[in-house]
Amino acid sequence: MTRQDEQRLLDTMLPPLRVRSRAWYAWLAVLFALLLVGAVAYIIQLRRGLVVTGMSDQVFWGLYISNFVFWSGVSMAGTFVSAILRITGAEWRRPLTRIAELSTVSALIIAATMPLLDLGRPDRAWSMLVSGRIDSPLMWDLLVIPTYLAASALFLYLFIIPDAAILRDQMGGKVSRLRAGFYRLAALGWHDRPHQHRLLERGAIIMAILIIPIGVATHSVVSWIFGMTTRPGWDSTIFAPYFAVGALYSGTAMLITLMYIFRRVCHLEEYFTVQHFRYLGYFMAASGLLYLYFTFAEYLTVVYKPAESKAPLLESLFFGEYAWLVWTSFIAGQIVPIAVAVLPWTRTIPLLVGAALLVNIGMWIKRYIIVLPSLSLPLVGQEWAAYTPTWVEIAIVVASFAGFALIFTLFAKLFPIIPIWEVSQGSHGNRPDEPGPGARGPVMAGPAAPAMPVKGGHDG
Amino acid sequence: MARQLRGMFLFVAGATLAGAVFLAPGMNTTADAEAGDAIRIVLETRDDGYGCVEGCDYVDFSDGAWRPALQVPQGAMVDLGFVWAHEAYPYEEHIMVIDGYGLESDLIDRENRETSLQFIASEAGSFTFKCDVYCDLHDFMQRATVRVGREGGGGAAPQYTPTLLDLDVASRFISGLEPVELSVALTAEDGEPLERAEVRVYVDTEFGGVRDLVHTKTLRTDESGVARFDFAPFTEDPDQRVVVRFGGMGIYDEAEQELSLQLTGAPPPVYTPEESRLESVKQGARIGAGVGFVLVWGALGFVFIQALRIGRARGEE
Repeated sequence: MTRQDEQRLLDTMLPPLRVRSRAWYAWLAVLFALLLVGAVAYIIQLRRGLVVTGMSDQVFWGLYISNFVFWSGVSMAGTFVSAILRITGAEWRRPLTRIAELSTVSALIIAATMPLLDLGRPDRAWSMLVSGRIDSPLMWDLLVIPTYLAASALFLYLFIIPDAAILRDQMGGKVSRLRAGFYRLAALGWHDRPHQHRLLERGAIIMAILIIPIGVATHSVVSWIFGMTTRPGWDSTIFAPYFAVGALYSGTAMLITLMYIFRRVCHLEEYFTVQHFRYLGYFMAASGLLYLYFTFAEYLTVVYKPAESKAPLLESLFFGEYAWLVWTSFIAGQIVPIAVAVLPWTRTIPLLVGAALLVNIGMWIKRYIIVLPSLSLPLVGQEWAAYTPTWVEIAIVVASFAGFALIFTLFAKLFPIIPIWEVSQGSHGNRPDEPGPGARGPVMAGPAAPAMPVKGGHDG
Repeated sequence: MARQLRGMFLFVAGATLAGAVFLAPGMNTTADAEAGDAIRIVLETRDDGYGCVEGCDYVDFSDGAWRPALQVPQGAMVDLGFVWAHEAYPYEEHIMVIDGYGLESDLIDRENRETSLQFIASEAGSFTFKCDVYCDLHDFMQRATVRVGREGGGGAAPQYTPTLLDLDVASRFISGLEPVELSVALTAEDGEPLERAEVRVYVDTEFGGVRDLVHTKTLRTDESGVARFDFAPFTEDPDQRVVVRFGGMGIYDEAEQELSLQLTGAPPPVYTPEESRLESVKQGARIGAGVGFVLVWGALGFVFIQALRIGRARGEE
């Protein structure tokens, strides 16, 4: 990057951190209003119990757990994509790594709250901790999600360190003392020195390698909550890879959506180019095709030799009450978006973003039809159970989306949404059309010489 | 004026009396009975529903089958008989049951054509009686209700027939290592065995600091009025008290009996999982996952320390 490019990057990324427009406050008000409605709904649920939801003793999981699976799926792609691109040394990754890593952290925070809401009484979580049996996949979830959250947060933070140093030095007198102090603390005394580079590189390599199996393990465990039962529709050996690939698919779609929003709102057209969308589109198409294959394999094996216990479920999925959801999820959530991402003449930003939105919607529906029909299915001495979510559940689920958006909104006011230091380190930071992988070697393997104007030693 | 009034009164009284005499049989869907007597109702099971034989004079074709509208007063003893009278379906078989009374009739077919359900209509409400044999269309045809009205029979309430439960075991001393067979015999006071009766078995047990009877089994008596079951103690209590209860059926009163057994040895565990080599695979997975979990957190801790060292390394070159 030239000096002019670096200055332009600073001029693009730093001013929005200080400016708060009316539109920003209005957006914040909308998010807080949605969160408030969700909070009121939760207080009602807390006071009156889960009877205010549409769940019953038979359909004991509803919107909350569907939403949990959705958000844990969204969390997959962020750090996973970021880690893979770092390991392979893909230069074009640089502008989008922060959004990717932040989407993982935010989605995991939201996902982790969903089972707590589903418990009804939050103190039950403590009972799980002290009395939980390690044989239960629910306990595995309790162990693996905090691990993934901690790892993702650490991964995100590592590359915030040099950016915090830039903010400390560039914005020291332009922001409040509290905020300046926060930047100084977050920068951990970073001054772009070779020793610091080496430490950061070492941490980044370990985290990039570690985060992939942790992510896969997390989504495998989420799938085993279902797959370790013998309930028709859940009793499947391929659920772990099916969930992991599905998570990659929906997470990439969310990443494309977020990238587009920030590109429009923060005018980042120079950094999030059509090539970024196309590359992520390829990623989405590849994971989508794999997901399609798993969907085909999953249903073909059970439809081909329908066991007595599974036949009514399959009937209801393909031709019955849930058919419209299944086919919507299949066509709008898989076939159409994959086609858009694969066909050369539809690989435009608007169409790719449209496809990503379809994937988001389709995959949310997919999680719903994984959770609900199997629970509604009558087992011994039961009848088909009806489940209709109540306003309480809907309000809380809407609030979860608002919470996700709020984390991004506030973060984007605190730190640049594009990693300034990382982009400046790359020779092709904003030009993904040029040769990427290997151009500067894997994971921060660039020259140790400081690239950004970072002042030295005034904080210590 | 007085003569006119007297004439009007006589006309009204006469018309009322004539109407009552004329209309009464048509309105009567309630089985008539003298106070204290059993109300006998007999129905024919036909191809197209039911027909009245005795104690019933009206069947209604309202929803695709002829069904009687039966009504009996609360507290009455009812003898509800069925006569097999199919024509187009000579192989039809029925076992009649009535909701709420736990009664089940003998099987009727073209060989054995008659059966009955006897009960005391103790609860008010509508009770469905039907054929309990799955017989396709005739499952729908042989379905009707008897309404038990709150108005009462007006006479002395019929008495339930007392019953006797006998609970027996070969020896009252049990080791706890092997289950012992207990037998229950249920008879009416005249010694007649009661078949197809439901008998519940309870064990006096302490659980969570509370001592109470725990329901462990539900038995059905055979044609000799006998039911057998294996009893295996699941506590180390030396005094094992077993209680059997018959909750009443039809015209038969409830009964209870208990038996104390002396436990002479420790009982085996209630549930012993079968030894499986697959358990070692699960154990291996647990250990592997545990080691992986520790390693991952160790690596996270290492990276965190590396990050903290960034601050301390600023003076180094």
